[in-house]
Amino acid sequence: MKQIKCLFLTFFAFFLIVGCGPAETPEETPADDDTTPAEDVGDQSVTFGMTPWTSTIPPTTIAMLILEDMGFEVNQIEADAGGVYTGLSRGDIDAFMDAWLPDMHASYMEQFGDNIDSTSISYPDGELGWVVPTYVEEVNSIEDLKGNEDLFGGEMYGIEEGAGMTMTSGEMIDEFDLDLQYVASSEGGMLAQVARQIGAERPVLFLGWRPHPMFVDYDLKVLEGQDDFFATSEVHVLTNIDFKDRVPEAYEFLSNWSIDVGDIEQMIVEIDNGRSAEEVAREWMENNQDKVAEMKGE
Amino acid sequence: MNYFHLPLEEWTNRFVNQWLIPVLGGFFDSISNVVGAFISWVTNILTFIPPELMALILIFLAWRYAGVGIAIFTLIGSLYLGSVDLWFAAMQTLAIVIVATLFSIVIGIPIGIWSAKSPIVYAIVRPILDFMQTLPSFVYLIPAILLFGLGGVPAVISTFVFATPPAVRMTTLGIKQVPTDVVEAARAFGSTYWQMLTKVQLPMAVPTIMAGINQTIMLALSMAVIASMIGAPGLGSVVLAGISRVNVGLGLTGGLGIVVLAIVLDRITQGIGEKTK
Repeated sequence: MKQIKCLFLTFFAFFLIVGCGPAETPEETPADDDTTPAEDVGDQSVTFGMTPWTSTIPPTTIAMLILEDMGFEVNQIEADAGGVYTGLSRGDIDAFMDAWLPDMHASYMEQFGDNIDSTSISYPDGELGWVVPTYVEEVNSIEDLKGNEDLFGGEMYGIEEGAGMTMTSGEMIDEFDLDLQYVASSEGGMLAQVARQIGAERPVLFLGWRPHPMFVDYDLKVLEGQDDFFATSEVHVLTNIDFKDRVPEAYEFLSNWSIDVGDIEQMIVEIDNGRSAEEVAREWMENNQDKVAEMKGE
Repeated sequence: MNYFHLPLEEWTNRFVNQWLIPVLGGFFDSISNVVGAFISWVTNILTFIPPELMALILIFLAWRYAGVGIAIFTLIGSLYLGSVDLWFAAMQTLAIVIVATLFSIVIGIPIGIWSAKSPIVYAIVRPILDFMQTLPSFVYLIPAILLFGLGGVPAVISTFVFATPPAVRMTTLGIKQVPTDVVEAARAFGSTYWQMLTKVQLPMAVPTIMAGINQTIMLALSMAVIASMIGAPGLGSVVLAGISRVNVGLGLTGGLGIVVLAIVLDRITQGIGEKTK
């Protein structure tokens, strides 16, 4: 499990490098929004922890914009996961929108969990595992693969040799006694092969994880029956243990927080394509006014 | 410097996605099948030969062309590859190197000859070779998958792009280096174009051409690790597995395998070049 975690961190670090160069969220300046009258909240401020993963940027930006609209002063501190959890436990950081629980960030929670409040679930479907395009109707679960290996030419495509998901996939092939050869390459290599196969509407079996733009680009289904190998993560919103008492209205909002994983993926793609995170976040808020109002408790 | 916007990115994407893959996809598929069959044929031969026999063949070649020292090194290297359980991986890498080198030779040497004979061809070929050698291989690595699928085939194609230029350049150089008095003497004796080429220029150019082939093989081996990122099996994927797990030992074990293979191949091909002088 630890290896999967490391792998994920690597992915997201990789996304940052290749994906969101120009889309880095700038340090937020105080709200210049004049539509919502600012309540008198004194010097109450909310500081968000921002990891450099593409999945962190959209929800954090949205939450910051909404809180700004509500009249809070918002800040962000950029750090890697270890830094964010340390800051959360000390109170330097009030909230973190992208906590992968229970498995992937388990080690941080063991270390810092006493001072951290799990405030809400952002989205429950941080799935990962073997995926196929939805047009492969014959196969819906790992059991369905048995005897259907020829459909995929006896091959499945994965990421690097030695990566956590690669090793887990090897175990699955043994466990389910599948006549499959795991072709290791790299994320880019795997996705190019997927583009090639899906472009020709051929069946293809490969590794997927959410949120990832692949779920925007293609209709994919994560195969059932692999929970023992790839456990789905829930993405939690975490806050510092004292935040609830210090800024109750902001805590109330964050405790009502939820977002669709598909929306996150859509926003990641938009940001990847060079739009600013704030612009993309504003657009989401426009299109989801009911949801925003509900989360604000209006 | 931004006087106008060059939409190279969109053009390339449109060219690849809307024309290259839909229109020529089938053509590339059939190339992929042929090359893939060739690679697995070579791999099967290399792995079918018992390691002991294969090692003996290599030792003999090393002794014959590169002397006793390299023969002993080949023996030690073979024992190393066997004892770290990388013999099979080494043969997979060797198969890709052999296939890529064969393509480079079959296509590179005629182009090299043609460039030596025609200044116009040379003027066209030269910048293309520069392009092939300097364009970072990562640029065409992933697109190669779109056209040829994951595995040994895009690895061979990428290796071919990277490793062919020396074969072309050294062939051209070798033919141009044939002294003019020799060429004139041959002409004075009434040799035809083909006689001149096959009986005078090529034989005299062989050592230079062999040096080019030697360079091609070395460049092909240097692509082994990079090629494993697009699914090429072999020593490269062992190294990649090592580095992605920060398993320094595994990385070095695979890396030394590549070094062994490189030195043996280098000395043997160099020796063949020297012997033909």
